[in-house]
Amino acid sequence: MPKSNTPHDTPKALQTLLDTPHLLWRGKDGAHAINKQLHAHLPSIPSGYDTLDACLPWHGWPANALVEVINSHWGSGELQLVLPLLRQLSQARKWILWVSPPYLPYAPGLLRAGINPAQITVVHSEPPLSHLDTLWSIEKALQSESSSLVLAWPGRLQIKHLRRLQLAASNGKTLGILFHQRHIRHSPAVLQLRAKTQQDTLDISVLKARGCYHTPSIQIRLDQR
Amino acid sequence: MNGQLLQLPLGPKPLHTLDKRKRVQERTLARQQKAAPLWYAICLPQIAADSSSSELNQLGLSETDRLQQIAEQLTSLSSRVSIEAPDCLVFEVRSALKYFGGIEKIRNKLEKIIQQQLNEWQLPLGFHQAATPTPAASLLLAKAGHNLLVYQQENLRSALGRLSVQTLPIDSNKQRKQLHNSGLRTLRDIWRLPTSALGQRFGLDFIKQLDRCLGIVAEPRQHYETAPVFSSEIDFDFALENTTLLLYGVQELIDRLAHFLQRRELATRHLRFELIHAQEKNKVLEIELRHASRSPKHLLMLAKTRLESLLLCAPVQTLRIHIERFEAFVPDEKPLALFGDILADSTSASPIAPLLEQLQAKLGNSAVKKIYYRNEYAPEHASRHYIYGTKIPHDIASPSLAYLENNRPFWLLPDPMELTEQEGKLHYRSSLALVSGPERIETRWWSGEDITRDYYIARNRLGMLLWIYHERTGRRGWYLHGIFD
Repeated sequence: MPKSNTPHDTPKALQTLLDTPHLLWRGKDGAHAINKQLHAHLPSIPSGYDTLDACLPWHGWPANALVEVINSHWGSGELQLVLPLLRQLSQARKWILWVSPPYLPYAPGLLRAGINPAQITVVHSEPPLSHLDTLWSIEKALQSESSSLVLAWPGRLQIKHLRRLQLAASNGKTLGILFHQRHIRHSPAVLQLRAKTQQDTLDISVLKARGCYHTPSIQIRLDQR
Repeated sequence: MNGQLLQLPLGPKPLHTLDKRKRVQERTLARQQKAAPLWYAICLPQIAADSSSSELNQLGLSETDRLQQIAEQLTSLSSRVSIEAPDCLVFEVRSALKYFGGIEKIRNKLEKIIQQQLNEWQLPLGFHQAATPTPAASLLLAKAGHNLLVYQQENLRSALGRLSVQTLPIDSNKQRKQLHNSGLRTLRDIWRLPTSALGQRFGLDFIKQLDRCLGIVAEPRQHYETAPVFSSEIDFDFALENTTLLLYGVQELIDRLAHFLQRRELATRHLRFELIHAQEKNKVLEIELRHASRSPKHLLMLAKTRLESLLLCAPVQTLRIHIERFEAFVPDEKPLALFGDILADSTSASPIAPLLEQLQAKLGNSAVKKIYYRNEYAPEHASRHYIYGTKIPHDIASPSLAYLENNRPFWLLPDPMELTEQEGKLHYRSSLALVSGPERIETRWWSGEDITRDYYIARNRLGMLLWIYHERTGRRGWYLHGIFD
């Protein structure tokens, strides 16, 4: 019966459906390609590593979002991941905040990496800030539209904290990168990476990237070290 | 109307029946009397004398400080008070004569004020005073010690006539001598001479001075202005135990403050709140801003942040705001794009300042820091941190990117950590393997804290890259100094 009504309509309708990627889910293989297409227009900042850009749906760091970098040992090269980003933003005179870093950053090290220390403000105190104060500072820094990047070492996190921080980042149009040790499942962060150092390479596995269903792993050479 | 006469009641003589000439005279006289001011001058020679002998001046007040203090109090008598250094003050009282009820009353009040102040400073009592229609004549009479009161301008000549010419404020000794040689002893002698001859002989400035005394030429004077103070408070109907309610009071006070600042084109960078409890001691909250502001939104945000972290020890009865320090309001001006690069300076007001001030309000000033590079060979002196908002010394390198040849870590330990050895190998979390080095650093031999070290880069099994050094003198130990990233 339907065939007799509109004999030529069905293939045409099907074609339009196939042409609009977000209306149709196409299983495992197609998902990646289409999501890439979908997210390509989202604002992003190049990470400086081609291999990393290639495996992220935004072709770089997602701007206005929360990113988690998980590394079981602090200080083993995970900062290399954000060096090109710091270099790029500080030279463009964007404001960068570091909240509760383990130590005060060392100016010659920053300069050597091409980072302008004048653009960086550090929230750090001796004795260390309380956990709640740290979280409060991260939230305020993310909410402010005047800061463009917030690097934070928040310590233990819970899902509710991440949810609030993700919301603050998207409201304040700020990229927030959290360095911590424990992987939290079903995190509301837009991107979750695990970093692991092997001699002179950094193994990065994508644990979660919003809108991306497969989780690639890549290696970054730490030749700058 | 039938021959009836209407009789008008006769009042006082109507004005128009007066002789016209007399009327005009009276009117001009009234106008003159109204217009002519009366300047009251006081002279306190003991102030200048006391300040010059600094040993006696225990309070450490200069004569200008003292004159300002007196001027401050005289503002209760007159709206126009002016300081004449080093030891005189002059203020206008004509406009206040009626209010206080005569010159006598004003003099009594003045004497009380001055005596009280002199007692406080433990200075000898007594002062000279004079009141005339011109400030210059009043000052001249007061300085000379003639306590005179002259209401009318036309009486000035005769009142000043008895003064010696030496009391005139003449700078050059030559002119003094000249006056003396011309046989001019008192001002009366000068009045007798024609102005043109005087001008030729003693110059125009001299004539001008005399004219000012007589009120022929007006004398502009700079008036003393009291420093603005803003103080306002709210009494609550019932004592508040919670900061959220207190916030409404703060909001109201900040609105009042913003209004005050806007009317006077002022801004402030220092807020002071006082929480007044019924029994406990008052609690004072002070908020410092990096840049003076008058925006109620910004000030409220800072106050809010500060209050949130506050624990009330007792219910608050009264909330008071008190601000004494102000700055002229400067509107935010964006530099022209043309000069953007030249004017862009990290110390000027930046868009991030409100955020940093908010963080400081909550976490304390010292928690927000800026990092600076210093062109120093010694590793621990090459990086400096300063609390955001403090002044940066000059020897700090400009933020331009310096080229550094040698690899440097991202983190430097505040104090080098001595490394232990395990099974003949250096150990930090796990055993270390040297990656590169040595880099010899020898410096600061002049300061008594010599640095003679060999720096190496080492890696441990966790993948951490470490900056370690070997002390070449003294204990010759191994230390961890930095961590790469």
